[in-house]
Amino acid sequence: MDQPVILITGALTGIGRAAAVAFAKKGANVVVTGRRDQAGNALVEELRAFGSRAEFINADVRKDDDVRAMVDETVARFGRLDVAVNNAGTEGRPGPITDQTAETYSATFDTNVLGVVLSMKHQVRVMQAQGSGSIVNISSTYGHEGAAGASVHVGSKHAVEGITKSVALEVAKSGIRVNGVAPGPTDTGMLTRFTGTPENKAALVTQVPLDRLGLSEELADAIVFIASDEASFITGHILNVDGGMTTN
Amino acid sequence: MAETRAALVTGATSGIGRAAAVKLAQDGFSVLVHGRDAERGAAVVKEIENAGGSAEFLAADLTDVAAMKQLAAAAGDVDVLVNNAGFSWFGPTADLESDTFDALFAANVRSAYFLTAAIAPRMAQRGQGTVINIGSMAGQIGLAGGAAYSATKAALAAMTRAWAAEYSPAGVRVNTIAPGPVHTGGSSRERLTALGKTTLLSRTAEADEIGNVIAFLASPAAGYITGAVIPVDGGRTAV
Repeated sequence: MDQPVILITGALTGIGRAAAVAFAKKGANVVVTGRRDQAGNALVEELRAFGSRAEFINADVRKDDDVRAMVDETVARFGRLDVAVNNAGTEGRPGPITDQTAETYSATFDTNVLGVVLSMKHQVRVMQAQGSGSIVNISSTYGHEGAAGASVHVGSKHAVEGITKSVALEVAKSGIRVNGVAPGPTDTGMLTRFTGTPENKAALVTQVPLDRLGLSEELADAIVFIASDEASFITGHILNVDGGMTTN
Repeated sequence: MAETRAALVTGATSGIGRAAAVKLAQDGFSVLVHGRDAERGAAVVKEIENAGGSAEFLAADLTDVAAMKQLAAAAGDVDVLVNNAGFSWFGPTADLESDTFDALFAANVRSAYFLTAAIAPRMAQRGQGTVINIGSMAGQIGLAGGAAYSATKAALAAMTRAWAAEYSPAGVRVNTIAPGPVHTGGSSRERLTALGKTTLLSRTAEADEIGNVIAFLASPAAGYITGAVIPVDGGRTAV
């Protein structure tokens, strides 16, 4: 396909940003979304320097109207939607279960779970009409493992994986593939916030057989792969990109 | 790429192995095409060379540990090892002869084990390299008539996890690809078509679709992926 149309949520930092750059370098039309206009416009300039026809749309994935507009504006601008990367997510407020509240729960689940549900709802509507498409939801190794002190975040990512597989079932006959990518510890601002201290971050690395953190660019490469026609017979899969962390 | 990197693909004269060899050659690897039949090997080498790639045929009997060591020595420094050689047997459990059972495990498990044993430590010494084992969705789900074959493929996935723990600290990535039904000529057309209908995508894969995933895992783009089992099965095992 020449110049496929890619929509990436939460694209202003970390893995989402790296994915936007990776798709732009391949010449794709890239729509990046987030909640900060200045950072969004700066990213668009960077993506256009690679020759990509990039656009920024301010959208909060927790709001149905924002998500509908984000998808509809993408189609209005580029005529179709080939790939959606639902990356917007939050670490929430890590801590023991005794510290969790209805607010900490909502702060995590509204972005990580409701955001993915609303995003797929509108993306699938467009993709079913065109009879093709590929969706990649960003999970985490915590989407299929437990972690002390991160119960709410872990729960939200488990939900993402269940929803991913279920929607894959629903839309396979429409020519749409739905997969997840589950990063292990990746060197991003979120990991720094999540671990709190350099010692905690170093302790995480000791659990990784490859003995290092992942790079956002490595996650981006995996996202580009599983989104592409190279992965044409893969659907309903959660691709671990975790340096082997979940094998031991 | 500054230096030509070498990929050894076992059972590369047909099906998934052939598709992997062709794709890896397109990606710039010098491909060592392993097989038993020199004529079929020559055809794959010619196909790669005609497309501008580099390939060489190496014959070896993978039921013979000494022959595997010779193959590893002849291959030299290998950057990518694809353990693809093997065969399947489906039928009532009571019909499987013990000789065939042993042959299945020798071809599908023992060969991958001892070839990896001959090659992965050298990858670890050089601090780079990757091993890709070709498993099967049969290793993850119950298929009537597939008890022995499924066990061989589950063994590959288990070895992959252990090898990731053993070799990845030295920079060697080890992964398994678990294909669903694929048109390879190795299994009956009716059986493959019927199995294909049970996938979410409601079809049987072409060998190239598996070769593309092998090439991805062999590439730097998969740099943080190790110990993984990656189904390429049209979603059959996702549900």
